[in-house]
Amino acid sequence: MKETDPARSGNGRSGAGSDPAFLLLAAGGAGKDSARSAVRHHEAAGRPFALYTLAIDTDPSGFDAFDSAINIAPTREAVSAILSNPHRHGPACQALIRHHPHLLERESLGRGARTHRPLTQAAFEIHEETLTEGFRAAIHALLRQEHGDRIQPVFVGSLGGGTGSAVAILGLDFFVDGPRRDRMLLGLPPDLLAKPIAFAIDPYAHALQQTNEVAPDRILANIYATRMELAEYEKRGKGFQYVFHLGLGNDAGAVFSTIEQVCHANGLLVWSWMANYGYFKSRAVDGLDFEKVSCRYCGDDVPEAFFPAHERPPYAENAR
Amino acid sequence: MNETSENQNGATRRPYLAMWGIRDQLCSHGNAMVSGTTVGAAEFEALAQDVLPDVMLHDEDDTVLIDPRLWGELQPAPLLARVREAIRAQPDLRLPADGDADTLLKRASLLRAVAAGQHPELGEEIARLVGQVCGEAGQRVRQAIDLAADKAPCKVDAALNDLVPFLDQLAPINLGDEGAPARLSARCEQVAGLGKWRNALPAPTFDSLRLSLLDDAQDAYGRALDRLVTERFENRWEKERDGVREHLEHYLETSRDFRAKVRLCTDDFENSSRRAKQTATALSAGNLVVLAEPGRDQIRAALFTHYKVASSTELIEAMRHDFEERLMAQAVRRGLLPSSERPPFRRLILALAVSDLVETFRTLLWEAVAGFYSLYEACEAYGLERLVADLVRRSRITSWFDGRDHQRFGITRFEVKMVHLPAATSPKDVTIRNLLDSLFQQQGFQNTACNGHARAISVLRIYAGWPLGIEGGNGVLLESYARSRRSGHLPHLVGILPDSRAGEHAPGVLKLLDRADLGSA
Repeated sequence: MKETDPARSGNGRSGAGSDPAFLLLAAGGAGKDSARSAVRHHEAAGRPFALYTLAIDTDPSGFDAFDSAINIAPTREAVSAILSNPHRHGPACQALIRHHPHLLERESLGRGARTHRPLTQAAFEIHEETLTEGFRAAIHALLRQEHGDRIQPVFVGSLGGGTGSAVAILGLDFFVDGPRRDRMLLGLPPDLLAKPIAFAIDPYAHALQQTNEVAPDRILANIYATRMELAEYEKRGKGFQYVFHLGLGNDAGAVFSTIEQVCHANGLLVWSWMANYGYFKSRAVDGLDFEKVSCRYCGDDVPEAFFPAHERPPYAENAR
Repeated sequence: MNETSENQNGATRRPYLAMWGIRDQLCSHGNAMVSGTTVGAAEFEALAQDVLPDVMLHDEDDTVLIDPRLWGELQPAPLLARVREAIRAQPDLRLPADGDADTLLKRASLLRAVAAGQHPELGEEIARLVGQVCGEAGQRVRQAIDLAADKAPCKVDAALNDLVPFLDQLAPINLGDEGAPARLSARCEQVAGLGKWRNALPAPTFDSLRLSLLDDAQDAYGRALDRLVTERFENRWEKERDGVREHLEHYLETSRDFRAKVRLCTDDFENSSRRAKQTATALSAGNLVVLAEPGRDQIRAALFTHYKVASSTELIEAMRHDFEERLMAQAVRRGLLPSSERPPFRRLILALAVSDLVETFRTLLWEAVAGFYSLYEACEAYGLERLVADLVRRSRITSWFDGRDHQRFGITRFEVKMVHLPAATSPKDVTIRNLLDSLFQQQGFQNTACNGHARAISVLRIYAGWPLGIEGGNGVLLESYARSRRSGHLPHLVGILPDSRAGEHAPGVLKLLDRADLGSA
């Protein structure tokens, strides 16, 4: 087999075609496990490209394996801040107080968001400044490494948990055009950040492992809800550049029966993709990148074709 | 809505996909799957578990030099003597010349003012001199502790432990003559009143009396000064002793932390070794192909050759040096240290996370062994065709579309198949690598020559260009979405879907489960 020219594949560091520096954003527990695995591969390969790892979680355990970390735990102090000044925070905080105050019971707060995505959203609202600062510091650290003139944010996480799935959506506000991104890139070239890419675990294995009766449905429900929201963000033009999913297994005997296994695989996957970025991108530019915005599914089996117009929800009112 | 009954009676499969707005979705989703080789690691991790403590606890110099005289530094008597000497040399307080009554009276008055806190400048000067002597002694002891601790982190515990009772047993300070200040006052009064006796007494008697009184007053002054200095010294010395004890306790604590870290690292390797044994089968069922690992003797031999050493002691020393260099680089990378600083090994270990220590040591071992272990020969032992088939199979996608990902439905398939084959290190490797290369090519995989692992083959397959709504899992996910309402779950973020205002289930989405009858209409 003829090997691809490294310079063409983008792995050569010179010229405009050089690979970007990668900002690996590990969201939630599965995101941290995946990113740790990716970092292990990165170290083992002699750190062949610029990579900065940033963990974002509501549970601070395992933060020390990352270049930096942002703890968005819904702590008692954070909850006090919400309760005392609900209108100073965003819609999630207000909605929690008005409709679901039981989630803010100080006694029931623990580590992590316990599959409740709005809790993470409330934490995001409280920690917005910290997040902006954390992202900005990560970008500055990557720039200081002097690798290329472009940073590719890469989200890793699970779509079924309470934190990773929320961060994947909420993080888009920071990395796709908008005031938060502008604030984060203050004083830096606006096109420094590429549109983010996500490596998302569909945590079927995790759901199937649960012994609690309701937990599997909650996890699977979160996957569905996150998918709906991803689609909604896409419609608003604020979606990811690509979202790569990793499921439970394939038809050839590869089965990830534990969350650890799937995270391990996702880590290798993310790292391999970053290592092969040049090769992938050179092909995607001519195919996927154009097709993804121009192609549309045109099968007849979409709900809009079956439901009368008055029964459609607002987000499907104008669907074709 | 009755999603349960739908599930239980099958309620005929819904004729439409389980998501709204699919035709508006971007075809930006993909499935990525990776497979690869991994080398069995049970032996390797077990060896690391054995060797790591030797490397971490190896001290460059086995002799722990803590000068025993150093312990005497904090003995209060000699320290006090030095303080007194320093203060007696102070111009405003020094003993007056014999027979100089005026100066003696002035000094005595000054001393009383200092004792009463009415002369802050001189009081501060005394405190400074006391502090200087005590502080220097304490500093020397602390430096000696640091030096010994940095040099041999785990071999000085016993020696330093001895220091704690030593500090406690230090002789209590004798504050000196308690009545000296009163006696000084009395003598000074007598000296001041001596003038009225000049004419009443014969000159030789008067002179003798005057000298005797002055001598006595001078002695009382000396004792009163010593008493004052000792009082000031006592507090400062105790503070210094407590400081040294605190430093020592801190060191002993960090020493415990150091040992704990060594233990955590070895535990990590022990767990990895156990896991490697247990999960070899599980890995085979996942996306990795497990190749035979080198034996423990082979690894040891490779280490000796790599470090060009002949004895175990030399090997440990060489590994320790290498390990320390790598940890330094890691600490600088993590921003824990400026690149110019060169901290002792103990502080380096304490600064870094266990995961960093373990991974750095693992990388060190692998790099040392890599040159003597041929990945390609292990592949050959596994069977090249079998290996390629296994890797290709295991890299198949993990998303399902029921045939909807088709050109006829507007979907343009985008598939990339990549393989990374590490560089060959021997002529035999070149042959095997070429064979693998051609076998992968036959399966449509391109060797991307990326800067990947030196010791693993990885196969990456990306299948992208589909909208999320056609993924086959949505139907089951939707049912769980509906069921999760019963437990009061909040699946949504607030303010994203217009009909889920506070994170609750969107009624519009739930409608997708309501109308299974539509298909038959």
